[in-house]
Amino acid sequence: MSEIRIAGLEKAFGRHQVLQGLDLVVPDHAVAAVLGPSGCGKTTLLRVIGGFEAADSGRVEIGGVVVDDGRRQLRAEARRVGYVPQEGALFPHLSVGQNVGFGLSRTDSDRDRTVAEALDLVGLGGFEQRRPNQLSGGQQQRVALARALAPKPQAILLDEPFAALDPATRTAMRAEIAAVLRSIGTTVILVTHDQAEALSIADLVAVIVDGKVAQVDPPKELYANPASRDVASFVGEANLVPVQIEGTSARSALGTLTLASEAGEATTVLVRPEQLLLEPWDEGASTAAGRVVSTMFFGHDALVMVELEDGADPQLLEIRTTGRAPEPGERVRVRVEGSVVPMA
Amino acid sequence: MAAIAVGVLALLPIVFVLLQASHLGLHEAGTLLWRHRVFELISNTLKLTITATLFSIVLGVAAAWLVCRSDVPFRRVFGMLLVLPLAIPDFVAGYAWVSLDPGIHGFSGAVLVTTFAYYPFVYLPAVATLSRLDPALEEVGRSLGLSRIQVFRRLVLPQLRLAILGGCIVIALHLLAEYGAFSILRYRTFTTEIFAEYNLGFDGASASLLSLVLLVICVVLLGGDQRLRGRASYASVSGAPARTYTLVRLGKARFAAFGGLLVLVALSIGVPLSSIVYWLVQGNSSTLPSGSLLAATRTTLVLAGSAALVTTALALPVAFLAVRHRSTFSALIERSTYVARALPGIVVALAFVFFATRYAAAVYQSTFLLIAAYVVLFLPLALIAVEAALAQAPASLEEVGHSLGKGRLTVLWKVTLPLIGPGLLAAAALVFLSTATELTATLILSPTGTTTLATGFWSYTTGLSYGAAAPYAAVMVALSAIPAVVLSRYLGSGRVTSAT
Repeated sequence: MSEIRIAGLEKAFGRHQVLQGLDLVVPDHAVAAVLGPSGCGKTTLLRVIGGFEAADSGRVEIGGVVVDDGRRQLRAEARRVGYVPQEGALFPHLSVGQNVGFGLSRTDSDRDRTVAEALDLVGLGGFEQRRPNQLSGGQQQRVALARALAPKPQAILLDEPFAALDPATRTAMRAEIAAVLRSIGTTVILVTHDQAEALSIADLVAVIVDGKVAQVDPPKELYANPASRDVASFVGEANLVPVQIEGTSARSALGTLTLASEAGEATTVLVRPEQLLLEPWDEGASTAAGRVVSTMFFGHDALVMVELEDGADPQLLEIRTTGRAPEPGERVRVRVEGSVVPMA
Repeated sequence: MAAIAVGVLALLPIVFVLLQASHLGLHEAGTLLWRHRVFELISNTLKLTITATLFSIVLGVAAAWLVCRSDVPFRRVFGMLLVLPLAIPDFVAGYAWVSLDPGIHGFSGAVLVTTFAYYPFVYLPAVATLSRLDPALEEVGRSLGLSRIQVFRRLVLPQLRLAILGGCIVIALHLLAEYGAFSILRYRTFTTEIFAEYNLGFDGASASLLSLVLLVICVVLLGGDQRLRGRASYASVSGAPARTYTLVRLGKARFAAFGGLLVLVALSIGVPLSSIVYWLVQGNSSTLPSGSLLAATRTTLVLAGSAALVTTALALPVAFLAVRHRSTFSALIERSTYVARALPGIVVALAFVFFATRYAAAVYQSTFLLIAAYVVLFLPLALIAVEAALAQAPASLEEVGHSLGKGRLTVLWKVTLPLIGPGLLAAAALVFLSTATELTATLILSPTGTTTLATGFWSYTTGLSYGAAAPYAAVMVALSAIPAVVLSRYLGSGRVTSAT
């Protein structure tokens, strides 16, 4: 059992209230990503869980043990929580093997084997004698992970583990680390500001806005049903279109749309860029008419900004298209595919 | 706990000065100050500070630029030699010049001696800054149509400004605190005046009143230094450069530059060393006090060694508080030791005499008290080195250590200490060097019968026995040369000698 439960966590630095009553439950063995813009308090959250900062109030439980109740803290070294800080932070004066073995008992007879296993796990078998400065950024990061894993901790905390890597290495590392984290079956909390990273690695994504958890859900659910506009626009690109609700459908400048859920008091709907299909101009078609404002070409696809011609206020839409990218100024037809999510 | 003790100890001299001065009425104070012609002392000090500092800037910056950026012959050798004046105590340099030519004295003599002794205080930070600057900045300047000279004036010099100003403040603080050199050169400053007062029979009120004025000037200077430090971040925006500089070709000027550096080295190290050698040879025929020289050397080694150990050990907790646990409390302790940086040796010594004779007669005239005074005097130096080292060992390394289940002591022993080892060594070297050549406080506080190299040297010099003094000077210079080299490598000029 190494479930992590956080309730009502508050933390301020001077007058700056960073965490404002944060609640989060990460089940045993889950890989959770904490996602949020910089300065939202996600790194502070990680440091409180790790025991490097003390909570002002609230409660942190790891594996059923209260490690911080806002008054007393269990020392970081007694928490059995592995920590991989930004840029790895390998001990520069120790070899790779000594780094990985740092958390193991000196009298442990299996010490060398445990180190070798941990290095194998991250694909760096046989690297024991290397020095940290002989490793690439990606390798350093993997050694840092092996070092955190070696003492078999209850949970692992990763702080922006891929931020310091170049884009090409980052994608490969992401897949590798995700596989490693899944194979060891430890509870993992990973902090990131990169939504693609969070959505692709985690079982569970917690979006933090202003020191509070705005939503926790599996990646697909989070993307499809964001709880608020903040979450919607932070996770993926979002078109928020004003609508008039009529029962289970909604009227808008894009025509009549099917609602994915109960509308309630909603006055707008969320339409993802890939839900919008661009069609060549056809005078007689019944779909919405628009004019291309700009096109950003990425190779495999393009992001097209289209201004709708109907409707009282001019409405700008972001549309992701894999077909021919239209030129600015072209008139196009826009069709909506699938159902849309109402937003209050 | 240790940190608090250190903070209190450092504030003792200030308490003493205020306590003493508060006994005097305003009128009485005025008369006393008038008697000492305080304005003459202030103008003496000011004149000397401005002149010596200006000369030091010119010499220090020019030498730093030549060594870092030009193709002057033997630049790496010069890089080392130019730091060496720091290993020659000021009073030894003063003795060297005066014993060569008794006509050297007063204002011009003081400017001559102090300029060649103190220019490394500008040279060292200038070298550190120059070797840290991103070459891309200067290349961009050139690409925008600026000539080399314009690039230096508009891009390099502004970035050197902080290094230069910092160096100037250090020079000024040294000038204010120096006793031996000015005594030999017969140039009246606050410190020589206070010392004279003390020798006349410890007129507590008068000496401490002058100390108060001296202290105020020092603290004002320190405030300036503090403001500079606050803005220092702008000097290193882009971090370490990835590339090295291509050296500027001097062409025909190459040999003129070489000659210039040669003259500088000759005047700053050549004169003191050759003077010592001259008197060694001369003095050989008369009396060479080999036995007492040996005893003085041993005493100096023991004192400097213990001061280095104790001071470095005490600097560690203070630095830890300051770097790792920022709070109002830790800032207060750090600040109190920092203020001690401005305390001239004479003020510290008088304060210790005052408190010891009144409240702790048992330790008066004891080695313990002398070492305590060294600690107060040199703790700020040690702190600079230890704090810099700690700041470069990221706290996240210690956190990772804890997250791997290791307690405070294990992490300190296995992670922190190995990382800051060089910094601790530098701190110890710095304190050793300063203690081995300390004269002012040692003269006042050393137990009767205890002779260090500095005080032994001093007693012969004041008796004009230049020949007998020379062996003491030689051993002192030899002793300090080793830590001085260690230090110059640590303080960044090492990059000059090893890079490119």
